[in-house]
Amino acid sequence: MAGQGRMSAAAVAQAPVDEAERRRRVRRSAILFAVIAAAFYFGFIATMLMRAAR
Amino acid sequence: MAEHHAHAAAHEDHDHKPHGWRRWVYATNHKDIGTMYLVFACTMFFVGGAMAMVIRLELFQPGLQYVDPQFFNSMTTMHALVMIFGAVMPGWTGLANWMIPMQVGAPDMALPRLNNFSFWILPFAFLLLISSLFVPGGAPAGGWTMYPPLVLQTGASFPMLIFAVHLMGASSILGAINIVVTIMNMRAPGITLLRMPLFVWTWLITAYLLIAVMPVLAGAVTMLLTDHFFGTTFFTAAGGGDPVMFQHIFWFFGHPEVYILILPAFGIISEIIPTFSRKPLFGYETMVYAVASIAFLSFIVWAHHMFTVGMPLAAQLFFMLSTMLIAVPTGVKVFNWTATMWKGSLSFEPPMLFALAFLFLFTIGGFSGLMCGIVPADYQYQDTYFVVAHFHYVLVPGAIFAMMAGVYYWLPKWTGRMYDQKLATWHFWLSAIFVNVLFFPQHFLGLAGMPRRIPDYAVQFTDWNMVSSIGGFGFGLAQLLFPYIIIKCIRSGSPVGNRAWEGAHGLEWELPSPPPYHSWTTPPSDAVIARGAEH
Repeated sequence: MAGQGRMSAAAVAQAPVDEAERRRRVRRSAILFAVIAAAFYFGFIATMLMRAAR
Repeated sequence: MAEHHAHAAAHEDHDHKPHGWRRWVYATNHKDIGTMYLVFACTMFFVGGAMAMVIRLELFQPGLQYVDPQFFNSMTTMHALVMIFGAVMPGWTGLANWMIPMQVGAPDMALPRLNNFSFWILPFAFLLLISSLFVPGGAPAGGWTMYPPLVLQTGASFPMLIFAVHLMGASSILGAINIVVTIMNMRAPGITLLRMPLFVWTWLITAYLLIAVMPVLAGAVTMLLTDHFFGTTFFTAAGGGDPVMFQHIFWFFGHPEVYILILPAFGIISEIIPTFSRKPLFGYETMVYAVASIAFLSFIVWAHHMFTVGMPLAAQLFFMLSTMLIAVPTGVKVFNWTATMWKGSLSFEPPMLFALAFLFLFTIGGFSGLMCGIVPADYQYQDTYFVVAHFHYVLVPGAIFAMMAGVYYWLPKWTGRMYDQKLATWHFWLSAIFVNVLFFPQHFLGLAGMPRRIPDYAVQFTDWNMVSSIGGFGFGLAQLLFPYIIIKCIRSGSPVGNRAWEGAHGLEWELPSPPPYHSWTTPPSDAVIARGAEH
């Protein structure tokens, strides 16, 4: 945890995040990463299928 | 300290933990799940270690002594799968579960039920994998890399292998999603990205790697499954498929996987060395950028694992040079750790001893990796014991030592008790000596031409194999001290304060030892953050 020596007090005191907004963000980012994972999974199989079809 | 006491008092009312088996089966608490991951990883470490003992016993002298070649090949395959997916990866996830919420000032992981699911997939995956030892034809024996067409000749255990790998992959992906979401959304106000501890940073980058590459492995093994059972020919040359393509896909997963196994180690070493040097980490931001660079480069070096398959010269040059590039950010890290110790007030408690051994021995593994990355040299090293020595130097005194360093560092925080440091120092010295006796001679064997993954060998390799096996038995026995020290600590260790190590900084050391069941239910105050972050 270095680098903090340069942090101003104002940067430390950020406003707390709204709980409902945080839940929304958690859900949204979890779905996004699940979609990315699924895209890699199906993407590689699809690429192989297209390569085989050539 | 007033803020801290107020915080601890506020927690007492929330400290209702479930009891009995329900606490573990229905666990959603990050500490409980972290403990389960660590216990599971430790168990798998001993299961995989037992397999390694079988391998070293058979290789103690030339000829076939104890096991038949098929079983020997099963042991090498299963040892790798168990150690990589059962010991190291769950071990890191266990440490992540325990430490990330405490280090970023969050009450728990962002998705606690998903966390429970991620963990409970694992015992079933490994039950399936290990039970394949008892099916007709025995356990998978084609190597952990599962190269076709060899792996397609696996008997009844083939679908068990594929399903087990899928389950492990699903567990890792879900765990990784949880970690990214937690770090991105659950940090306490004031914990900006560049104020996060290095362990959190390295895990964030590791989690991105996991999300990107575990599905690739899943895709590859799905295609193996359809080749085996549904008549496709993705990797079968007779049907127009390409077996080398599997190697490309596998190593597109496999090389980032190497960094998945080692990046959290970098984070832990970056926590421990400043603590026991009583100095701030040298070059925090460069460390972050170095880890990110290593992660990026890990995606463009995969074919250095397969130089000998026959690829265009331009491709060989590209993959050789990109591999060399990784030495730059890695060198930055080693330099920064060394510079952190420079003129520090050093002390050599067990976590620091393991961290220093990591620094020396991981660097040896890194150098031999560079040697393997040089195309013409690799033509000599490919599939010899030199490669075995290289990756074991990276993974045992690298990943495993760093994990042990992490456990010895945070165990007093988790339990509220100090372990027997004298015994832990014994554990360190026995491990450090025997790990070198075990793996260093394998460099000589490889350079002399001894191939890997064989149960028998030419007699000129006998002496160094005997030395290596003695090292293996010694290392294996020394590891029995590890669970003993932990159990003894839990039962009868002497109580410690919040800051178990005098030089430790970070939010986790602002919590009581052991921390309350639910920590940081109210975000840490600015004063607590500033004190935890002071360096």
